[in-house]
Amino acid sequence: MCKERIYIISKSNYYKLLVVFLGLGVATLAFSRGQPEETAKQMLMAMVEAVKMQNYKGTVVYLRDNQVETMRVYHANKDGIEQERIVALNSPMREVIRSGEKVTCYFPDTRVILVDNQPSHRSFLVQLPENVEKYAKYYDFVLTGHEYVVRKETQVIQLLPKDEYRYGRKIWIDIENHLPLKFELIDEKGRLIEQMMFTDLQLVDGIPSEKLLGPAESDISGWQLRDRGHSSEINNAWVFGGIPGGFQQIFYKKRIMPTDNQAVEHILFSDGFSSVSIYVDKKTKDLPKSYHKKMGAINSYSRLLDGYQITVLGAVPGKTVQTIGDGIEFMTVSH
Amino acid sequence: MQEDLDLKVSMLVDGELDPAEAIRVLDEIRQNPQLRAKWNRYNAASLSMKSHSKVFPDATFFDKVSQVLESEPVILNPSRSRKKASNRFAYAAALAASFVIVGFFAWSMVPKEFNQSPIEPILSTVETYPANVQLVNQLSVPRRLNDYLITHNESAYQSGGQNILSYARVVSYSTEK
Repeated sequence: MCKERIYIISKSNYYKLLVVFLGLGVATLAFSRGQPEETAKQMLMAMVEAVKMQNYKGTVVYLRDNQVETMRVYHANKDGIEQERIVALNSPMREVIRSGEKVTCYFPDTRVILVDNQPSHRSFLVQLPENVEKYAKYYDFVLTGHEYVVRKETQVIQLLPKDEYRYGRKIWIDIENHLPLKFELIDEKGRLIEQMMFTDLQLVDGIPSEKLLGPAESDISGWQLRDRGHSSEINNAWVFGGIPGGFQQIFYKKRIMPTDNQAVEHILFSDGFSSVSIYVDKKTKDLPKSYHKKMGAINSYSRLLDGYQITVLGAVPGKTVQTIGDGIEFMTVSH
Repeated sequence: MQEDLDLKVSMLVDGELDPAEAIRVLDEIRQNPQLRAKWNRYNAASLSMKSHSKVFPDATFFDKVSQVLESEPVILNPSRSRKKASNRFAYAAALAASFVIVGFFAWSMVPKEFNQSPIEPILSTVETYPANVQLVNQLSVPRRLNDYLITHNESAYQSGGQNILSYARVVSYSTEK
């Protein structure tokens, strides 16, 4: 009799406990999912601001394609005007300088200077969308703990793509000053394909002006100066039917390629984190009829379309460039 | 022949036969009742000499024990209450199912983090593409493609699509001479 009574009570309590347990579990998951994503976005925005406003210098190691490049980075913000310089420390010795809205690239190995006068308000160090919120449809923003980089404690944030058309990112943000100290680009299979990391970083009151200048005049005497001639046009020739969700057209331009002074149509798409360029040119002997090529983080795909060579490239999976390339057609009257 | 067998039975009791011969003699003992009786007497004598016991077991003692054993029924382990066992199983299954359900929802709701080794070498291999697509030698970058790359990196930087150190790629790419 006593044993039977105990049996009935235990069974009843079991079901109650089961319901409570399930409810707690779901509530915990919902709560934990919502809050860290908001904090990750806030940290990313704080990072974007810190990169623009602070004066810093450091050494960066850049790894891609089993190659290691070491560069020196300088950034200064004086009266709201940003100046930056990236200098390769090993051969070939190249550097890129930004002063306000002008970007100049120096290539000593080919004795070429490329100048681009496109307005730019973005730092060399990091470029993220002004508002990451609108990209939440295509990426998850996840906090994944703390780690140390150059003896500084950082918050690790992962940008996880929600489909197979983009790469993921992992950023280590200094908790104290919100500068990005390490960055990884991860492909669709979870493999590391590109990495940048500060091996030393100093926040300073100011950067001496000579550190932000390019080579001396005497050193670049006789070099070829190429201005990235381009004009904004309206696209009335092509339809892009294979663009993955989230990618928006940024511009359509006609450029003069310095290698052969030929005009090329250049269309840029971006989802805020990943960019893809489409180049349309007359068929050239310099490129095979159709090919895939992977250069570190960059995938490229090219095909012929009625006498035109279409090349698609970007830091996106190979599937993305091929899908975009195969979806390009001539614009017809009905479009 | 019989004297040989008697001698070998005696030697078997004393452990003086090799294994093969012992097996042959035991077969003979099993098939021959007279030889079996002699085997029992020799064993009893050996035991009594070793234990100094004055008890002489009946010659048919071992046969009687064998018959009793053969006549006894096989006893099975008593089964437990089926009702109690099924209840315990039900509780365990329900609890396990609840864990599975919660775990499934947890797995599906939380974004998958990258599962990568921090010491993985940077990927540099060319992916496998369909046979009708020509692969370009990864070590050589045609001038036109290199120009595309530089233009892309510059443009992507200006559009905010390069994330970190976009011009690092510009600095690091080599050009054909």
